[in-house]
Parts: sequence; structure tokens; C-alpha cells
Amino acid sequence: MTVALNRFNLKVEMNVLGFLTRKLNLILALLTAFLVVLAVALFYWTTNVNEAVLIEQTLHREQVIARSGALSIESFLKLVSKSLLQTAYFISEADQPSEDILSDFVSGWADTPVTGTVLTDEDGVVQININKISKPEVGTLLANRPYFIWAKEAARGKVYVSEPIVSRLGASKGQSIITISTPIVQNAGFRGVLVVSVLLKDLTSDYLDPLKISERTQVNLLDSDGNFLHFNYLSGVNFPASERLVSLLKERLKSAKEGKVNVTYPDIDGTLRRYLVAYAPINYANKDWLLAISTPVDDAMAFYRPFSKTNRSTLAIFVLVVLAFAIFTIVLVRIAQKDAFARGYNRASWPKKAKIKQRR
Amino acid sequence: MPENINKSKSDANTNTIRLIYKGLIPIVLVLGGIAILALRIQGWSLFLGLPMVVIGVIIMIYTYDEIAQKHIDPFPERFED
Repeated sequence: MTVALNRFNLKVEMNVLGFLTRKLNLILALLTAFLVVLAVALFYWTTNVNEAVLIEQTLHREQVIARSGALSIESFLKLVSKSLLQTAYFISEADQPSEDILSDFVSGWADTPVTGTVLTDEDGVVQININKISKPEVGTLLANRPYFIWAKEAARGKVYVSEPIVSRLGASKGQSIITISTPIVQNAGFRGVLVVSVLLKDLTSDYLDPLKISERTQVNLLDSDGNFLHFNYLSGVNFPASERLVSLLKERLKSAKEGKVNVTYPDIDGTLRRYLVAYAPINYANKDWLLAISTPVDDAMAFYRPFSKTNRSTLAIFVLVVLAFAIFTIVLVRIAQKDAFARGYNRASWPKKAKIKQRR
Repeated sequence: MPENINKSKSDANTNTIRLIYKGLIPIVLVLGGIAILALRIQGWSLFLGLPMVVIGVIIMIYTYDEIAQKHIDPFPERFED
């Protein structure tokens, strides 16, 4: 009878304990799941915030680079123009144009994108040609060049910066150049034009290529009509910028203000890639150019990789620690149950009592 | 008699294999889920990773409770009489 009663009590206790354990397990499972979800949410939130901050930082950095690049080119054009005006003044003051004046000018601009200078007569025929490779070609007719047409009507001390043209003579023959010109005026009469040629390739390599943030950074220079003066180079291949970028920059060119934008457009291989683009205007003489620097987001994110690793490790460690605690709790609960049972069993007066080892 | 021994051995083996599977599945789910979440694949990471981790966690708790219950049995048969 006593044994039967004890068995009944034991069964009741087992059911009660089983119910409590099930409930505890449920609470534990829900709590652990909640903590894991919280950790994941935190991981995603911090990662997104960090990425947004890094993108903003990269855009800001590109903006500063674009601004400084634009100012460098502007300064270069200004300095060349001032030097050109000074040379033009010496020529107009001299009775006979001297090669020495032009030689001094060219030697003063050695190791720069300036390739040479040309002086024409009032008909546009080259009279003096001084260039870096000492190729004094004269007699070439430049009367149909836009700068010559402009110079015939221009006032003394004015400067004209041309669109990119293919050079007809001198060190830059056959290559793309921009020219800076000023008229030679003597006794209120037009006597010719003094032209300086600037090799576009050297201008971009000297002033634009060092602005690259990464290997895949694209540096673009647009003229006022939205034509690209400088395409981005990749693996030695000159490939045009995407239509999306072109239309975007053309639109921004109108405002003549600096800015930055986060835009997606197809890459050289056709894959859509998100780019961080910053641009700054170059306003000088008759020119309104736009210098744009674009870097793929992936390259900007390269700076985030060490932080990303830390974030991922923290997530993994947090989840594993939470799990370890949950499993530890399960084991503790079971040990406590057994211990409580053993203690109760040992205290009870059983007809045939057996000792159970208790944990201390 | 040898049949009984074989049967009990086979049962023990089945139980062990079942236990290994029960123990491994949640671990694989949790670790796989964490890996998918950490990869941050747009959309899929949350869609697959989060449920995997949550389900893995819940299964793990119940499985390990079962294992703990078997190993730390509070009511051994020999003490009933």
C-alpha cells in the first residue's frame, strides 16, 4: 500500500516536473531565439550604418580630390595664360618677333604638358615654331583654326582655350591637344596669334591620374558641351564612360557647381556596379569644364573589411555564447532536478531505503 | 540469447546514430545560419539565415535537454521499490 502510494506521488511529481521543464525549455528557447534575432538585427544595423558612413566619407574624400584636381588644372591654365600674355607683350613690343622669346617661354614650361608654342602672322601662317623636340616647322596654315578666327576679333590681353584638336605640327603632331591663344596686337592692328599647345594626354596623366583612389577609379574630364576630354583608362584600354554617367554629368555640368552622387551604371564588362561620383567645375576663360571622379562602391568598402570581420566575429561569438549558456542552463536544471529528487528521496521514510548520491 | 544481444546492440547503435543526427542537425543549422547571415547576401541572408539560426537554436535546446535528461535521469528505476 505504502509503495503504491509512493509510486503515485512519484508519478505526480514527475508530471509536475516534466511540465515545469517543458515550460522552462520553451522560455529558454524563446529567450535564446530572441537574443539571437536581436544580435542579428544589431549586426545588420551597425553594418548598414558603418557602410553608409564609409560611403559618405569616400564621397567627401572624392569631392575634395575633385575640387583640388579642378583647381590644379585651373591654376595650370591660369599660369600658362599669364606667361603667354607676358610673352605676347614682349613680342608686340619688339620690332621683329624673336625666337629667343618663345624659346624662353618653352624652356620655362619644361616637364609640363606644354609641348610648344607657335606664332603666326596675320594670315594664319606659322612664322615661328618652338617646341620640345626642336622641330621648327614653319609655313603651316592655321587660318581655319577656331582660335585664329577668334583672335582676329579679340582684344589685346584676352585668352582663348580651345576644344581638343589634333595637332598639325611640332612635338605634338597627330596627337590630341588643347591650345591657349592670345592675339598679337601692334598699333591697334592684328599681327597674328600666339598659340601654346598643351598635350591632353600629359595634362590628364599629370593632373588627373594621381587623383585615383583605387585601380578602378575613373577620372573623367568633360568640356562645356558634355564631350569627354579624358576617358578613364583601364588595363591600357581607353573605354568610354557609360551612357548613364555621361547623361548625369552633362546634366550636372549645366549647374556649374560641385557635387557628389551615388549612382549605378554598367561597367566595362556590362555588369551593373554602384559608383560613388564626385565632380567639380573648372571655370577658366571661355571654358566651363567638369572634372568627375568615380570609384566603385566595392573599392570603397575595401576599407571596411577589417571592421566587417570584427562585426561578423562578434555576431558568431555572441550567438555561440548565448547557445552555450542555454545548454549550460539545461544541464544545470536537470542536475538540480536530480539533486532535488535525491535529497527528497533520502529524507523520505521508504520501507526499503536506498541511498542516492547527492551532489554537494 | 545471442539474438537478444544482437538486438540490444542494434538498438544501441540506432539510438547512437539517432542521437548524433539529432545533435548534429541543430549545430549545422545554427552554424550555417550564422555563415549565411555573415555573408550578407542581399535578401537571402535574412530570408534563409535568420530562420535557420532560430530553428537551429530551438531544436538544439530541446535536443540537448533530451540528451541531458537521458544522462542525468532523476528517477532511476532501481529506486522505485
